[in-house]
Amino acid sequence: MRRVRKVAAGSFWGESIMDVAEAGLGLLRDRVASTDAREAVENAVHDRLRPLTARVTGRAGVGKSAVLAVLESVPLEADGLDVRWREGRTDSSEGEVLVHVIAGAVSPVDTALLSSRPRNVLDGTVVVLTKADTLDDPAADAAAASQQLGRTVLPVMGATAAGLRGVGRAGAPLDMADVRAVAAADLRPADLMTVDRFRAVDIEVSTRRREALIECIELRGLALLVDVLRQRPAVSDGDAVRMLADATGADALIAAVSTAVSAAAAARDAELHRSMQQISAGHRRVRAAVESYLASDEAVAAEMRCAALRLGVPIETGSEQVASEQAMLWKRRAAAAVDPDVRRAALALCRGHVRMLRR
Amino acid sequence: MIPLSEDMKSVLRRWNSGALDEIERARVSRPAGVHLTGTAGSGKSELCRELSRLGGSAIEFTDSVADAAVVMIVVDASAPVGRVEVEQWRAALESTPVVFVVNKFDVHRHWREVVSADTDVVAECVPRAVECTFHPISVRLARMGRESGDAAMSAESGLLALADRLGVVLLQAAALGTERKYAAAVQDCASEARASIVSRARAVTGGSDTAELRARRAELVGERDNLGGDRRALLHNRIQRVRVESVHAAAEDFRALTAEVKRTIDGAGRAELTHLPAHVAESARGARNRADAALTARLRAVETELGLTPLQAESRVADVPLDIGEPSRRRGVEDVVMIVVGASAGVGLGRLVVSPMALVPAWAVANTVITLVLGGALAWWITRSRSLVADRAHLRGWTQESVARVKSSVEQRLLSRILDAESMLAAAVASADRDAVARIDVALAEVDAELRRLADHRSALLSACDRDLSALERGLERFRGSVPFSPEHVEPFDEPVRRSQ
Repeated sequence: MRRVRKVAAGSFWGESIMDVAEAGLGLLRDRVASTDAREAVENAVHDRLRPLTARVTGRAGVGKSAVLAVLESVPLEADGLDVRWREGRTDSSEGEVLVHVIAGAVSPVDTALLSSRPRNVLDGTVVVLTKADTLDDPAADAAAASQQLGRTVLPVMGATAAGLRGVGRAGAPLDMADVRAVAAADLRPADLMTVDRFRAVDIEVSTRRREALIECIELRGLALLVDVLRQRPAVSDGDAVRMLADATGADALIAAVSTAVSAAAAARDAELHRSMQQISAGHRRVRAAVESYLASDEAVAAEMRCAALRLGVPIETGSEQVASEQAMLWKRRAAAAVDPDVRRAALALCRGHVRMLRR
Repeated sequence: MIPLSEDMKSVLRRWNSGALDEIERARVSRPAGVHLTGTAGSGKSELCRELSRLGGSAIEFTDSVADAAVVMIVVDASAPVGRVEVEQWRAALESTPVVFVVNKFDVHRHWREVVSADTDVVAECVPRAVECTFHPISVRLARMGRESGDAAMSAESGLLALADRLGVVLLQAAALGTERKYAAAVQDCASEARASIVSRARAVTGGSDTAELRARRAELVGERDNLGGDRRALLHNRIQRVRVESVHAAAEDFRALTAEVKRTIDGAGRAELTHLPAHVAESARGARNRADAALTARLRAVETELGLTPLQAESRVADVPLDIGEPSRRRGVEDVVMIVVGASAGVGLGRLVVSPMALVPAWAVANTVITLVLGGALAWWITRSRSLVADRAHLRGWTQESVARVKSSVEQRLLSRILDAESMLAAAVASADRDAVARIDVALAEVDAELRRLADHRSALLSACDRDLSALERGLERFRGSVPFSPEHVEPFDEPVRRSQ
């Protein structure tokens, strides 16, 4: 469990949004402390600030641990909330963020589990086709799985990515000297086809070190690095590893999970604002305090971020002119929108840009 | 092939109507060829191609499990299969020898753990599998070995061993296939029949068929227990209420009558006073009739509430005249005194009026005459007025007395009728209760008889279920141990795995 601090999307408020948000919520708590709505407000704020639950699920033996190790090795942007990762089987799809891992074909169990999750841009679900290094055409297999599941499926070399980050089963970092020694050896393509063949081949690198290499980046990862080093002997170790890291697909996975975590945090904000509005409707004495909080910069920023995630658009930041143009643009889109959710989101974006202008 | 015993046939016919046809189809079937199935993306088509190239046209493939001599299940070594997938292959595993192929061991270095897990899950989920051997292979290695002419690679791929195994199993199937299918069909149908019997027995012992009857019995017993007390208490309560309401309503009616008569007397003239007693008598009769009618209605309501048939006859009181007597007034000495005083006062007043005329001596005669006439007139008027006032006072007293008398007689009549009604209703309630108890006893006896019949039926049915289950078990005993496994595969789950390792 880690505590991750996030800077506001676009950093347009100039300081950590979590600090501001906590300060704003603290002020709100102080203002309602003597009223009968204190407990309701405390509960709503507690729900907003409690740690995010994230689960990595999948059938036994599909490679969840490697994916979990990769995700735990990077700091994820969660608006300062703690992210608690848990590993689970396919019996429950609970969790604000769900990373479901499949290997090979999609099983009926996978389909059943994912169909029990809501399907929208803020559902916090990421589907991973791991062990991509064992597939002839990972992109095609991922596309087929995407079509079957109706969700984007990311091909990932889970074990290789974990090994490159030093969090794999081996636990040891990659020794590039051994990789270069393997690349320099007289190996036929068939020698790198199976682990047994690679173990049996007569080269200078000891069997133990060969096994360590396979344990770290798998045979396919080693074959890719050997190919790179043979084609470009002058390439640096760092560049070679970077090329392999790009091929693992871990970056796309981390980006998708970051988006899912941000979406979960944004959903928390939306839930908090909804709760606050309900509390203010029921308790006249706290109405002024709640409305003051909802009109604050951090609440407007949170609404704006949630709206941007809902519409799948980035928040454009820059000069006053950019902010002004964006405010006008979203105002026009809000006026033209038919769907009330889209109109509400566009208005939130317009309001956010206007607030940026004022600052 | 072992024939089915007659009692097993009859049990199967009773509990699983299509079973005998299914068993017969299996008995006459001639299984041949390989049915290929497995998980998506496990390399089935490629394996099929490589096997065809390897063995020429020796291996025939079939689309149906029922017709197949061997079922080949292909999975990949990326992860162990789950129970859901194995459940899909249960029928094949229980009726046909299965060759379980774990493909792509070349790219999955943990394939041994996967094969072991697959072996465990199949053994756990399908304990009655006919024969299942596991073969880790790599179709890719086989293809590359074939293309490059690398015999070592082809041998390493495990495809040759698989083809050999298929050949052996197909040979065995030629001799044993029909018998296996027959035995599997018998086992399958017997399982279905057993499940039907057990579910029926559970339904019977669960008591769902007698639940309604038992509830009805409890309801009847409760009704009988609560029968007497409730209605008697209700009768007592309602009669008390009728008494209070009736007496109060009659009193109120008579009070209103008295007030109205008094108002009439106060404004009435001499002629009206003459007719007043008749009017009072009429009104009192009306009030009496109203009280009587109201009591009848209330008693009817009580009867209805108690669920009794109407017992109260219509009251005949309306026809009975009401004699309240006439106001008798005898003139006494006070009337004479009143006349004398009135005459005296009249004369005095006359004199007072004509006293100014006495100053004129010429009018003396006229004065005397006028005084007498005026005095006489005034005396008459005063006497008459006083008489009217006295009549009114007398009538008021008479009215009060008469109405009180009538009221008393009406109340007495009402109370007497209520007492009669109470005793009649109590008798009727007791009689109705006796009838109801008798009726409930009859119904209870019927329910008890039905429950006894159902219990007998249930024990008979359970005995029949036990008998049928025993017959099934006896029938299956013949097949137990006779399911033909190939002699060289005593441990079908483990042996090929050891060989490949």
